[in-house]
Amino acid sequence: MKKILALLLALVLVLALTACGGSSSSAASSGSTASGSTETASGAALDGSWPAEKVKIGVVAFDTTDESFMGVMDYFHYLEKYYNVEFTVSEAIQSAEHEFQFIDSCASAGCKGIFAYYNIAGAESIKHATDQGLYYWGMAEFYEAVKDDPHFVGGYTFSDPSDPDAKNGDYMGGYELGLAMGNAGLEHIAFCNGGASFGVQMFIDRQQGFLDGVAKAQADGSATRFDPATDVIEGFPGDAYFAAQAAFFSSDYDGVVSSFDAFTWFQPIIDSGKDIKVGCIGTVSETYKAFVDNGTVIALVYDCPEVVFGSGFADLVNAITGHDDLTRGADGNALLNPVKRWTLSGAEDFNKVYEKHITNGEYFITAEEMAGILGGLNEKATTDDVCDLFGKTLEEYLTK
Amino acid sequence: MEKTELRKPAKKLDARLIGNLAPIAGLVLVVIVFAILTKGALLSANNLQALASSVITTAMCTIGAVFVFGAGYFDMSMGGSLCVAAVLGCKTMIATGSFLLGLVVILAVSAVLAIVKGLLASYVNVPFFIFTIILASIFSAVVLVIMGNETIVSLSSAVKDMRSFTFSEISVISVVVLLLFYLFCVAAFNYTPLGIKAKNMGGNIFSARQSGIDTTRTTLTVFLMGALGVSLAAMLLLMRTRTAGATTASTVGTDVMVALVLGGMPLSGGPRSKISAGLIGAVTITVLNSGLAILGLSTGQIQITRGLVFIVVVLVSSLSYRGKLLPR
Repeated sequence: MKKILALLLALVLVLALTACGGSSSSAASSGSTASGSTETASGAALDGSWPAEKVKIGVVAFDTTDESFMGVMDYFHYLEKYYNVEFTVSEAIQSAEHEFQFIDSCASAGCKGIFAYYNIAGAESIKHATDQGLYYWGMAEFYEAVKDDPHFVGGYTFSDPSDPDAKNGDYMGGYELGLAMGNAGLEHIAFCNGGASFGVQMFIDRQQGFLDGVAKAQADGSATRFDPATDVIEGFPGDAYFAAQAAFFSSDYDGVVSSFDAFTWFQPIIDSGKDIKVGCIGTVSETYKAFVDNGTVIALVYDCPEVVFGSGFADLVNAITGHDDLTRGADGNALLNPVKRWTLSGAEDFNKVYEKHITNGEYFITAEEMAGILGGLNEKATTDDVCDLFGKTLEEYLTK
Repeated sequence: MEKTELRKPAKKLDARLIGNLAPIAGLVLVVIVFAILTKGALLSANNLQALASSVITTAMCTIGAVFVFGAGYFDMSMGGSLCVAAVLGCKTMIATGSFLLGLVVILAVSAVLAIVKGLLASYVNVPFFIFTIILASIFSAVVLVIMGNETIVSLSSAVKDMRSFTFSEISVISVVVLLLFYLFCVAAFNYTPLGIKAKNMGGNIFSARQSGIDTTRTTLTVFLMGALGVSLAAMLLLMRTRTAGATTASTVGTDVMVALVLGGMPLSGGPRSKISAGLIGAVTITVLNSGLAILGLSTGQIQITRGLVFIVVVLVSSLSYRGKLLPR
């Protein structure tokens, strides 16, 4: 009897929870459809009724609580109000097999595309998705292996494809931070290198960029000291990292650069009572605002969600709605959209973005502008239009 | 008086029958509930293929783990063993371009790790699960050392092209290998002295020794059977994802434990251990995960639902195995 009662209880709990999940989801989507309504250049209403058949897109995530990722999803949820599009987000993907399972589940759930904010198995994941007829959009790292796959619709790149000597966005992000901190009149700075010591390429590039940026500032007359042998804090927050952080505060440092977000530095800086400046790769959010406004964060390298990742929406929707020609170049291969990573130097730049995104709930690329590059809503849209919409600096968006 | 004597055996039989059928009923219930909630998407041809591929890692490891857990050894390091074997096997394949040689390395590495665990289990008088938790950490660290500056190794960088399998091909291969391994394990566990000895050890190792069972040899053999499951899982995982890294099989240790409980096996092992628990549990957890993902619930909702299901299953299990559930 006890067993039967326990099983019944479990069943009721599970069914109640899954039912709640389903109903809240549909309520949210129907509510949002009603709230968003505008018109495209062609006169079609953007009221959530286009495309006629709902477009479902799976999103591969590494950490669903990461502020940068949440910023991207906020933008996609904003677009959901205007288009008949629905995003399904993975749990935190931990391994290649989890990534494959999520892609499989997306295919079974009726998704037509995969937006890869994260990719752990590289080209193998892309092939696994396209094998099942899913369109795939992602980072440039695996482009060469899959560029001619008709279901691969491209991705973004921080490099200039027309310049073979151009440095990539991670290098340039590190370089800008090194240069900004080197020119800030600081005496002694440390660098948190994230995954560089573990061989993660993006962090290796950021570290090299930082070293070159500091060297440039020093060559231009900066007296800022930085010794790669003693001033690097390796890895991510953990026992060794926090031990190194404690040593930092007992030394003469007056600046720190983080090749990832700098949340773990803010409270210790307050506790230390020291005037320590921070440069980091981060986001425009409530958390950062207080520390930008009080002058603690003096340089922030920022990936604006709509500028860097917005083309994923356009490319996937174009391909799924039968306009995949807008995702391909003259050679028939998928296109990479060159985008810019912004360096926000100080409170003025930061607050321009903050006001747009957080205060006003607006984006630099609106749903209406997005309609201009969707083949189903604008017959005249070209691949150049797609590139032009995304590849701009903050100043260019502010003055457009 | 006569009436009472007749009723007692009948009640015992009913309880045992219910106990045996409960995991199957649970699986059927999960399938029906999610088939309805997903409007049939769970049982679509595409998803059945996906399920066949997804279940393989957990199923292979769990079926092999029945020997280990059945003999009373609570092993949390199977994921770590799989990761080390897969990475070394993948590196061998990349270096030589030979799938066969990579498979030999996977088998050899798994066997060596199993023997190490078997010797620890036999000769060190400390609760074995503590060892396996530490071993899992050591295995992860070993993989990081082996990987050096790489985060992932891929067969696409092998010295010569290695055949890749389509989604359908890998699904068929997975099902065939799984069925063969399952039948082999059923035969070994139920119809050979190994299974009888393992179950006796899981029931009471002291009485097993006094009954003349060579517990050291049996321990080594059950760990080698577990290693066979790990090897096959690593091989099929490599065929499917063509990559390996420090996070490969990172959740297998927990998945195996949960699958065994869902399959109706007491984690303390003993006479009630059964191979079918490995398969049923692995399929149940895979269907559950797939169904929840297809429903498109948020991460938090999925975790809460899964947690509730597991808690209730453990609760129900504890009603019949109270006092025998803790690992030794």
